[in-house]
Amino acid sequence: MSLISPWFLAGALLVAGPIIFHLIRRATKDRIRFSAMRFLRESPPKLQKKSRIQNPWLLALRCLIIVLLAFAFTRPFFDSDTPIDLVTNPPKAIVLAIDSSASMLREGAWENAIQRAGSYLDTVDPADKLSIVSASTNARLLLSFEQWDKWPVNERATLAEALLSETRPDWGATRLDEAVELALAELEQIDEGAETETEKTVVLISDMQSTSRIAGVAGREWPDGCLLELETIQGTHPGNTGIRWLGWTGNEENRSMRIGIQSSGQSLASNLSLALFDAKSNTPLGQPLKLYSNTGGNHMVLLEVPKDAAGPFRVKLSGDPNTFDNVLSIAENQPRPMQLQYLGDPANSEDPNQSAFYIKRASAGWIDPSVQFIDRSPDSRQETDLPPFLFIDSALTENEVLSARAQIEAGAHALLLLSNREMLATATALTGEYDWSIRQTSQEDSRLGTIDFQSHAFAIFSDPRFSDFSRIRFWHTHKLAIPDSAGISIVAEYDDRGPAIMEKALGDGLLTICVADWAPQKSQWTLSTKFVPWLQRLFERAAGGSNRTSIIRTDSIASAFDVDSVQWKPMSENSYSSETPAKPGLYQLKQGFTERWIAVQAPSEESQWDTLPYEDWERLGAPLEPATTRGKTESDRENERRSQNAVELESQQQVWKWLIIAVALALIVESLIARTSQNREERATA
Amino acid sequence: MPATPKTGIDPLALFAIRDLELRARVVVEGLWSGLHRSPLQGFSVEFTEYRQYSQGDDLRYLDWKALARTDREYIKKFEDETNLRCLLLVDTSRSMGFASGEVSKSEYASTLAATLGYFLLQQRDVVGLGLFDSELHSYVPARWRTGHFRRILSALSREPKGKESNIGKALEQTALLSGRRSLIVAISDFLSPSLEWDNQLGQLVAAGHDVRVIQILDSAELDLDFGKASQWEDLETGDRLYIDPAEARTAYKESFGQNQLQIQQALEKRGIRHLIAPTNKPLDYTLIDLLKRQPLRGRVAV
Repeated sequence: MSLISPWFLAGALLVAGPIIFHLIRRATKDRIRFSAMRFLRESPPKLQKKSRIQNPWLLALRCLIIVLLAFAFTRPFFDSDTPIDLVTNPPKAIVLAIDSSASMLREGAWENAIQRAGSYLDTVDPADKLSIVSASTNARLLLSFEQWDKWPVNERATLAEALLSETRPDWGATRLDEAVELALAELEQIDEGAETETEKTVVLISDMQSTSRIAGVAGREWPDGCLLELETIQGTHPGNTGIRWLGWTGNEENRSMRIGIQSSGQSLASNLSLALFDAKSNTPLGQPLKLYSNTGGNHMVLLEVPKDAAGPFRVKLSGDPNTFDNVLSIAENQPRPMQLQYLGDPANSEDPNQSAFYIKRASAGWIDPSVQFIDRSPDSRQETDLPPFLFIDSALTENEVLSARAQIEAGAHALLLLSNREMLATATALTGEYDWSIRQTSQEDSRLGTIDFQSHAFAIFSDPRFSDFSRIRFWHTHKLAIPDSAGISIVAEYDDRGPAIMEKALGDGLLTICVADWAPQKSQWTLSTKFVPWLQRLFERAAGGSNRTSIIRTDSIASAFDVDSVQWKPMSENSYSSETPAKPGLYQLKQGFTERWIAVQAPSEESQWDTLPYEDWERLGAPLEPATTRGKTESDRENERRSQNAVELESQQQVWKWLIIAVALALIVESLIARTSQNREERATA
Repeated sequence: MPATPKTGIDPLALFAIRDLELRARVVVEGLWSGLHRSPLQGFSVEFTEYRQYSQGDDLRYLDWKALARTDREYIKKFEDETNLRCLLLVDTSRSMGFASGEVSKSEYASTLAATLGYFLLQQRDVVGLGLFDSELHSYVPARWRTGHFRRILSALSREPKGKESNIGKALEQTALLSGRRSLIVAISDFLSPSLEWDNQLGQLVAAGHDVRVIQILDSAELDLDFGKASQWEDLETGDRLYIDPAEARTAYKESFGQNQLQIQQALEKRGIRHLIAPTNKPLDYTLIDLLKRQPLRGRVAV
C-alpha cells in the first residue's frame, strides 16, 4: 500500500489530545463539595489509581478515529502491477513550430534550434503524432500529421530530422502568432472522429525576440488540454548591432542617408564603422564613418552621398560579428518616363472640341509617370521602342489595327474612345469581338449608373466622399450592345445598362474602351474632377503600378507588387525571372515596359535580440506549461508521471471513502459508549 | 391537641412549588389550626378556678356574686391568653447550601421558617425574622401588620451571600435586639462546635425567652452515603482533602455522633428543645413536632 500525501500522517499525533483530555477531565470533574468536612479525615488515594486513564476503551476508540482520519487524508491506495502508463497516458500530438525568421540566421541560433527540435523527436513515442511548422513571415507546414502517419513507424524520427536539416531560415519577419495559428489548425484535425482525446502540445522553438508578433494569439480559442511550450534558444553571440534604413535627407546638391544604428543584447562590437558603396562597381564612396555604439542604444547617423553618385548603393557595417544584418541595399526613386502615343489627327490635340485636347493637357507636367504626348504613326516605330500607352479616338485602318494590337499584346496599354458608330469597327477589330452592335436610343442624356469600385481605375474613388458620379452627364443617342460579355470586364455602366467603360486583356497588355465622346458638348466627363485622377490611374497602371517605392522589406514584396505581372533580376544575374526575391539585395524590377532598381531589405526588427517576456504570452491567454513543470529534466518528468499515475490509481480505488465510513461508524459507537458512561457516572454520583 | 397526620407532604412535591408563600400555605392548611396556650398564667377572660380569699388579695378579682350566694369570699383565677412573640433565626451560611438530593438545607430552612411564620401570623401572633451567617446580617422585628409576612418572605428569598457561620455571635446580637420575652426558633445545621454558641444560648434563656432549636441536616451528613473517592472541598473554608467515603464513613459517623451528643447535652442543660430535621423529612412533620406543647423542664438562669 502506498500513500499520496504521507505527511498527513503527522495528524495522527493529535491522539495526544484525547489522552490529555481524559486525564484533565478526571482531575477537574471529580471535585466534591461538602458541608461537614470538619468530621472527615483524609484517606490518601492509591497512586496507581491516579495515573490510570478513565474509560480506556473510549479513549482507544477516540484515538482510532483520529488515526483513521489522518490515514484517510494521506489518500492511501494499493499498488497495482498493471502498467498504468499504457492505460492512463493518452497518445500525444506535438506540433514543433520552429522560428525560421531572419534573426535565426545569427551564428549558432539555427543549429541550436535544430538540436532542440531533435531532442524532442527523441522523446516521441510510436503512438504519438508529430507535425512541424516553420514560423516566419508566412508560417509553413513542413510536416503534416497525415504525412507523419504515412511514414514507416521506425523511420519517422530519422525522416523528420532529415526534413529539419534541409530547412533553412529565410529573411522574413518573426510572426509567431501565425505559426501558432497554423499549429492549432493542424491540431484541431486530430480529434475529429477520434474516440479518445489526444494530449496536444505546441512546442515553439524560437529566439523569442521582443519584436516578434504574437498579438494574433490573443482571444484564440485553444483546444481542450492543449499546452504551449516555449523553448527559447540563443545564438553564439549574446548581442547584435544592426543598421536600418530611415530615409533621405537634404537636397539634390547635398544628399545624405539617414541610417539607424540599433544595438541589442550584450553587444561585443567596439570598433564599428559605416561605409557607403556604389553597388554596381562595389567601390567605396567616401570615407568610412566611425561609430560609437552603446549596448542597447538606438541612434541615427547621417551618411553623406557624393553629389555625382548615382545609385544603387550599399551601406556596410563593419565590426559587428553578426554579419547577417550588416549590409543595407538602397535604391533611389527614379521618375518613370512614359510615352503616350496618340493614334489620330495631330490637329485634334489642339482643338478643344476634340478628346485628344484634354488628354494631352491633363497629362502635362506629371512627375510620375512623366507622360510624353507623341502623335507619330504606329507603323513607323520599331518593336524595340514600343510606346507603353496608346490613345485611339478615331477609326484605324486595318494595318493600324494590327500594329496597335501587336503593341498591346506586347505589353502596352491602350485607351479607345468608342464615341460613334465609325469607331465600332476599330473596337471590334482590336478586341476580336465582332458581335458588338450599336443601337439608337431615345434617351437624351445618360449618367454613370453602376461603377465597379474594385477595379484598378476606380478604386481611388471608392471612398463615399468621392464616389458620387451622378452629376456627370453624357449626351449621346447610341448604346453599345454586347451579347457576350465573357472575356471583357465592364467597369462602369450607364443608367440605361449600356456599358460605359470596359477593359479587355490582350496578351500582356490591356485595352480600355470608353463608350463616350469627351468633347464638352458630348459629355461633362473631361471637365469633371474625376477625369484627371482616373486618367492617372490608367497611366500608372501602364507604367507598372502606383507603387513607386524603391526600398522594400522582404516580407512585404508580395503585398506591394502584383507578383504575376512583374519580373525580377538580381544584380549579379543577367536574366529576369518571375520568382519573388527571398533575400535582401538589389534587384531590377520589370513591369511592362519599365525597369527600375528595387532594394530589398531584411525586416529591421530582426536585428533586435531582446527577449520577449514570458508573461506576455500569459497575458494573451496562451495555455503555457505550468511554472512548476517548466525546465524539468526527463527524470523529473518521469517522477511526475509516476505521481500522476498514483493519483489516478488512488482516485479509482478511493480507499479514503471506506476509511471515512469507518470513522463515521466509530463516531457512532463512541457516542453511544460516552453516553452510557456518562449516565453511569451520574448515577454513581447521585 | 390535634392528632398527628399519618402521612406528611412529600418534600419533593412541596419543593417543586417555586413560590415560598404558597409553599408555606400548603403546609399550614393541612395542619391543626387552633390556639396554643400561653405558658404564662395571668389575667385573661378565660376562667380557670376559684381560691379562697386571703388578706391582701386584690379586691377587683373578688367574686361578688359567689359572696352573695354563699357568703364566702372567693378570688377568681383566669388563664392568661396572650399574643405570642416569635423570632425566627435562620442560618444562611455556606454550609447550609449543601444538598445531596433535590433540596438544599437552606431551602428547607427557608421554607420551614416561612411556614412557621405564616402559621403564627394566621393566629395574630407577631413574628420576626433574623438571618445570620458569621453575624446577624438581616433582621425583621416582630410585628403584626399588613404586609409584614411579605417582608419576611422577601428576606427569606434573598440569595445567601455565603460566609462561615458564627452562631454564637448571632445569638448575642439577637439578645440585644429582643427586649421582650419571645419564642425564639433557631434554625441551623449546628455543625460548629457547641462551645461557640453555648453561653450565648444560655443568655437568651436567662432573659426569659422560650428558645427552640431546629437542626437541619442532609441525609448525607448523617450517614455519609454520598459521593466517591475524590477531592472533597469544604463549602465554608474551601479546604480540600482527598476522601474516599467508603473508608472515611465509620470515623465520620463516630465524629459526627459525638458532635450531636455534645449539642444535645448543651441544649438539655439549658432546657432547650432540640429538634433534628433531615431535609428528606416531610415539612409538616417537622412543624408538628415543633408545635407540640411541651412543658419546660426547668429554667436555668445564668
